[in-house]
Amino acid sequence: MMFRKTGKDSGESSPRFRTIHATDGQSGNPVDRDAADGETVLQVRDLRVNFASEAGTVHAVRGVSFDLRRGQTLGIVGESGSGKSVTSMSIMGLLDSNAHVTGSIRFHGEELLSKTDAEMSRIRGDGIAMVFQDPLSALTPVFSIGEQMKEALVVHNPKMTADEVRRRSIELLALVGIPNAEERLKSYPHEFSGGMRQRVVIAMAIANNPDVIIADEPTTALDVTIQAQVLEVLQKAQEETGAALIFITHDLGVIAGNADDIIVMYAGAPVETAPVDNIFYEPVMPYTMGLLGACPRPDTGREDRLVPIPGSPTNLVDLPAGCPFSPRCPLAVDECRMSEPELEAVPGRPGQRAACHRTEYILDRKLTYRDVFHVGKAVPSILDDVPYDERRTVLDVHDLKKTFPLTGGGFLRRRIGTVHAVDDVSLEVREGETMALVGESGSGKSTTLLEIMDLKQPEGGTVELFGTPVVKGMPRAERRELHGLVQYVFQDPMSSLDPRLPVYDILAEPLKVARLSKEDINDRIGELMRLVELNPDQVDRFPTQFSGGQRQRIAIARALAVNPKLILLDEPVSALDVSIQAGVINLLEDLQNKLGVAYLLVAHNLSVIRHISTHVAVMYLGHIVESGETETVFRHPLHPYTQALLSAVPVPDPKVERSRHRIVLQGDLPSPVEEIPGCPFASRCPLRLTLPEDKRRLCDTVPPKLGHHDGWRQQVACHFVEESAVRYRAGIVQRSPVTARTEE
Amino acid sequence: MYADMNNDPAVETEDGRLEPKLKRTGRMTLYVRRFMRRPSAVVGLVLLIVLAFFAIFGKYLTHWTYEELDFLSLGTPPDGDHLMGTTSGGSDLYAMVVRGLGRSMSIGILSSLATTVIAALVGTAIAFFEGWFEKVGMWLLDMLLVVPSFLLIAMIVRSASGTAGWLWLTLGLTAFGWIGYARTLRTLTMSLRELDYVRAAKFMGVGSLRIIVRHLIPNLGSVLIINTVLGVVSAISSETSLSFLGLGIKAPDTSLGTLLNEGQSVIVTAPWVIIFPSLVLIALTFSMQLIGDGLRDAIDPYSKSAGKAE
Repeated sequence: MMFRKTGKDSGESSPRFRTIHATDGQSGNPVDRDAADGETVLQVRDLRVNFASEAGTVHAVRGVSFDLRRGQTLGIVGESGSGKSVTSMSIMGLLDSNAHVTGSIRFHGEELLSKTDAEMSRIRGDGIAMVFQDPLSALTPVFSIGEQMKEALVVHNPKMTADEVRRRSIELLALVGIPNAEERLKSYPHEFSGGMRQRVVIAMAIANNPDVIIADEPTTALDVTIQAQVLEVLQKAQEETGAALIFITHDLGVIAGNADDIIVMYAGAPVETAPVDNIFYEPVMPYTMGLLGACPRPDTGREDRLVPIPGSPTNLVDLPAGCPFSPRCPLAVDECRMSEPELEAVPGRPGQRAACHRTEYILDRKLTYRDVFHVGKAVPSILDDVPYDERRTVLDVHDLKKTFPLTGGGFLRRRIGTVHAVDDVSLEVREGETMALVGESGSGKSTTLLEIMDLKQPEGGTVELFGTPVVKGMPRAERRELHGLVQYVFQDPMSSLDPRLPVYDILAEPLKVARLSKEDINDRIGELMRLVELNPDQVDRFPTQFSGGQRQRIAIARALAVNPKLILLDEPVSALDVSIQAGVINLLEDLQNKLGVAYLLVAHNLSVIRHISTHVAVMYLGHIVESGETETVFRHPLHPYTQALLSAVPVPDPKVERSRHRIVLQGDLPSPVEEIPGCPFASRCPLRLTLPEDKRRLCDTVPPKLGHHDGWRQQVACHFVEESAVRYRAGIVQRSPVTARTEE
Repeated sequence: MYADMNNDPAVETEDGRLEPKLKRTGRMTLYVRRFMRRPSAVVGLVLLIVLAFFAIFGKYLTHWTYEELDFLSLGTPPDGDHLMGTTSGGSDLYAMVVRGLGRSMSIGILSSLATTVIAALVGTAIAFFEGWFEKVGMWLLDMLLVVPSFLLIAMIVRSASGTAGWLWLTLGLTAFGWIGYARTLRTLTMSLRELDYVRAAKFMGVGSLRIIVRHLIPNLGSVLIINTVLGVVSAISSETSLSFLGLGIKAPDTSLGTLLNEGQSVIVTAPWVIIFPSLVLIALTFSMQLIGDGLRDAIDPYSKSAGKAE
């Protein structure tokens, strides 16, 4: 299956879907659904949404206008708080009652804003459908999938017979790629994986042939390989129904391949709208440039420094008088601070409109983000002169094992199985290097970190820190010393900082454990705040008074407080906005170079990993399937899973995205309870399918060992490395753009 | 507390530049400031202080003492001599209210505070240590819950001598009041102990007791404060019911509960006997409520009483 760029030619839809919808149901307003391609279905004009809040009026959306044609895909991009979701909610009429909406939203010429909730209910799910971000909460857990599909269908087609409903449900589930659709109708949502649930949600969204599908971050909660599947299904659903798609996301990579037009939003207002290529290749508004520069690309490595946008997102309550981006914009002049620019056509660029006073200046000088934003220089590493082999090993993990007992309910908790969370994981981290653990959710990467951090003798295997093995009955003093050398940074800075303590006390905590004097603690905290580029005068504030990026800086400062030699980081940037994320990644790199600290990092975002790590280990179901230097692994992935993972990473580049072919893995991650005698990846392996019968048996019965293979620099756990490499080189497995570009 | 640091405004950093020395406001100072920013909290605090003064020094405003009986005026309404009138037995109500308020305040506030402290420590510790500690702890709590507390308190107070009776009463109320409460707090802590910042503290090697005192208990803050405030009210009402049965405060000593009990029977003929103690009791609980709200807001990191980082 391939990921095709369609969109414009997807006007026609199969006639069998038309039969159900001869007229427009109950609204009594017959609408010609078979209108020609290109007909405007949705027209939004000067949409403004305000919310009342304790702090004052929140201007969530400030003047959004667009037209949506049948078959068109419109991407709305922005960071959290940019008003993108509020825009979609106001189209659906699902805003809270404290929202004040003005402007106009016309669906087939009908004004939606003046409709009552009951009238909107007829349009919702029928004319306009929505796919939500979190498939876990979008389905009711107590009803079977069949019942929920039925509900979606019958509410708009009361005359449908049970048999018709059933046939249509099966048809829809098959369309979105759910195997055994007929049997699965009886299943409940918890029996489906996240990706499968999202497919069901999409099936329900297209059930009534909507004219507009709104997808609000539909893949954000999913793993990369599942994301590839869902994007494909969404594309297919759009082709089948010929609907217009509004795709809301913060991830420029996801949208590059399948959008026709893009609206970039900042502080509730559109700052640039243009066809997709213009946004990616010739952005005009500095914010758009900043977003592109800040976004780590999977096809550029550690040497390309990211460009963070200075400052933090604007507060929607007290907007500055002029352009809301002016406080963060390096090009801002007095005019920008006086009046807010209108969205105006960019001369010489049809279809592109930007809200910026400096458009001419930027066009004249052909500025790119590198000119606009200050690209800092990386600090030279203090370990640059030390060859890799001579660096000290800070962490040596050998054959680490961790299992969780699975107990049945009931009075006596019987053990009914074992979850092999981590199985024979071996790692080596040397000073000054960044080792990244990649894998999908459930691959055991976080468990590995926690096992190391616990400083307890592991269930199986050994953990050695700075040459000291972690064993049972380690003396207290020794354990405390290790605590000082190993620190941890959590994924979510909202929950890893105690909200009741001011920043000073948070930073003082590890220092008090290290028994520093009051004076020294005070000095060190000032130093730490400056180290992570925060204002030391803000130490009396509470974590909630800082933005997400600032909070993660505080968490990093806390980890650095006692001068550790190794920091374990669990998804350190995944909870942050793109523009903020870049700053934190740069900070982590600089700190490493300055202090020579080693990182062991867990992440699912391969672009981030390529930017930050020197070594990478790919995990699948608790096993490491491939490990080696980041550049080697990204350029010549050997394991079929690594190849698939790399091919699925979205690249923020429309041309690359359109021409690429994803290796779409079949199925989902097997349950970790399952006892797998052979290779854990065998059930989804595309290489195994091409092998003859006797070789397949090897995959199914003998687990491959992680090891070096002739001629390759990385370690791989696969029986058929040569075959995989040959297939990859021959292009039978479509090369991912990630590797293709760097080889040029 | 940190004033000395401001005397030395600059410190040299490693690269030789002069950086301003860190100025900071202590956590307590912050809390006090935030508390004081809330007018209602200040009103509550002032009211409590006034009541305390009234309880301590109020007796000097009249020549009657709570033990004296004025046989010439039985159940008379308020007049110049008896500021709040007299009870049917001839006691001066003003002197009784002053005395009773003092007793009730000490019993209510002391036992409520003690209950909260014990319950918070035990409840969070049981949840925090997990494993066998939690099992044994829960088992003990469940055993204690079955003990007929009312009866035991009655027995303790009965065996105590006259004037120290209220202390024993406080002790009894505390000893049996914390158990169910500790159980609730343990349940709340179970969700807290899974939070990243608690794990972060463990990873930094912070000691268990420190984690409990610094991270777990403050984050139960609002629950604890509400419970302390309500605890004062409920301790007073327990005391009232025990006194009603003749087991709490015994004459000649008196408390608001005893007074209310007495006023109840003469509500039609001598309403002042119930009105004045009620008013004082309402003022007491109201002030506790205001203080509680203010405290909760002061220690609440999400509160509006602070600025915003830029």
